Amino acid sequence: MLLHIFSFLSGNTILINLRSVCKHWKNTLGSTKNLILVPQIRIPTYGFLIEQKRNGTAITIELTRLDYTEHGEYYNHFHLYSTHEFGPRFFVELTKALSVYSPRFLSMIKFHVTKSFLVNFAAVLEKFPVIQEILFASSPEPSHDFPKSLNSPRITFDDDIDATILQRLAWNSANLRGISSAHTTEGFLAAKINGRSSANRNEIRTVQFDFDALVQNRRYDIPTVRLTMAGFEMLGSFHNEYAVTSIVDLLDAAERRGKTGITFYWQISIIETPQELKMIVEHRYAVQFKRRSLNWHTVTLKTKTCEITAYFFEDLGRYVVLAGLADSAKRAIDHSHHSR
Amino acid sequence: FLFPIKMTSPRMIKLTSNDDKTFEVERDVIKQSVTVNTLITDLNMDDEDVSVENQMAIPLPNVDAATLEMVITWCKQHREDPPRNEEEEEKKEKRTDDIPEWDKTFLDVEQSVLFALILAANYMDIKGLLDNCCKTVANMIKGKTPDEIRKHFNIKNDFTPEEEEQIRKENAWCED
Repeated sequence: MLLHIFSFLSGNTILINLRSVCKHWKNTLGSTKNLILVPQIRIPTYGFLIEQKRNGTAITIELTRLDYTEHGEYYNHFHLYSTHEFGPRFFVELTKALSVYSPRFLSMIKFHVTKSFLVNFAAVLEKFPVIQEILFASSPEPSHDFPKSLNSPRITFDDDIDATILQRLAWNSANLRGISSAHTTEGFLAAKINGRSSANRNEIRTVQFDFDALVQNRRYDIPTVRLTMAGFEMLGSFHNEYAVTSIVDLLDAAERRGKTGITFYWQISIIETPQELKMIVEHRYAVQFKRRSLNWHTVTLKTKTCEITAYFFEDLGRYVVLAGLADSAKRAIDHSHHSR
Repeated sequence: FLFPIKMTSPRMIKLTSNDDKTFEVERDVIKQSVTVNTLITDLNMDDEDVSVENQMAIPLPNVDAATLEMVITWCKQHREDPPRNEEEEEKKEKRTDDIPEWDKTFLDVEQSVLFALILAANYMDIKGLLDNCCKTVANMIKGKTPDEIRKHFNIKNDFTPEEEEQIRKENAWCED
């Protein structure tokens, strides 16, 4: 019965207050992780989310919250949805929903949207310049109507969006501030964002890629390295001669995100994109690095076609990625080229 | 010509509270209680041609007379409400600012009465009443600090200072 009452309450502060009232209520509420209800937008089960996606009748939203523990920081993901049409009312509610989150806890939002959503979306973004990353995904009807005036500095387009969208993005790139890199394969598009620390807005680090150049380079034989750390993803495409610079830039930016954590997680993908436009190799490894007495760490990642050894040194509290990783990556890329 | 019109009086159902008080209520009114409605249907009481005097009373062992009277009043007020589509209700926004004015006044009662109503609505499975009661309680919680909530509901703070500190620490992210 209590839960029924609580289900009518939403907002972080209220729920935290309830947890603080007495043990009985705290126990009833359980972990607040399951009860972070953004006003008027409810948390669905994953199955329902998939169903709604299929029907294309609802919006699903994934919020990523940065949490702090004694082990450092980590991210919580919240999937949210609304069955509302994407009319003005929805955007009012969305605005309220986003307001609940302190900017530094709102590091990523993922929207599964239909075409009509995008038209109104720019206005919301402008109100929340702190949003770090936005993923558009699984549009039931691939939209060609991306708002040209999108003001958000950080956007990512993903999933089944038509490749022609990439071209449109390239043409409009002057209006899309902050898209720093892009790579496409068949049915896949990702435009990457600025690497940026959610904890300190002054630590904005841009990993600069030439968006237009990548778009124009449609040979699809450029290996791509994607580095993901705790929900933060860096994507780099590079020719061999630029491999070292690129990957060090990537990791350096990623490192800034994780420097406060003693323990954190890295995920490295090697994606090979051959001329057939198929992604034939994609191996993901999540590796937990822990502080060792020698203050350095190595990790070896093996795929079917390549091997990468990464060296991480801790230097004055900062993790510095040595060129060894880049060299290894370069070798791996060379190897994968030769093995084709 | 004037034709005689046969006036059919509404079918009545008898309900007995746990303190043995019997209420007669229109069948059409009490159908809002899923529990009672199911019972009537399962026992084929709708088909019986029995006068209300000879009718078996449905016992409601979890509801006292005062509360049952309020429940019946609420059901009478809402007898014209469209039937709820639970699937739709589930999808609807969870709001607390949409309690009808009549209900607001009706539910402006002492906490003990309100909680008795919640329990009765839950037992009798009257979702509209249950929701509005719970929304009323939710509104009592909204905007209050832990101390204010404790005071309002007369709740003893059973956290040790260490535990309180721990909770504060766990939720520090929320305090920005």
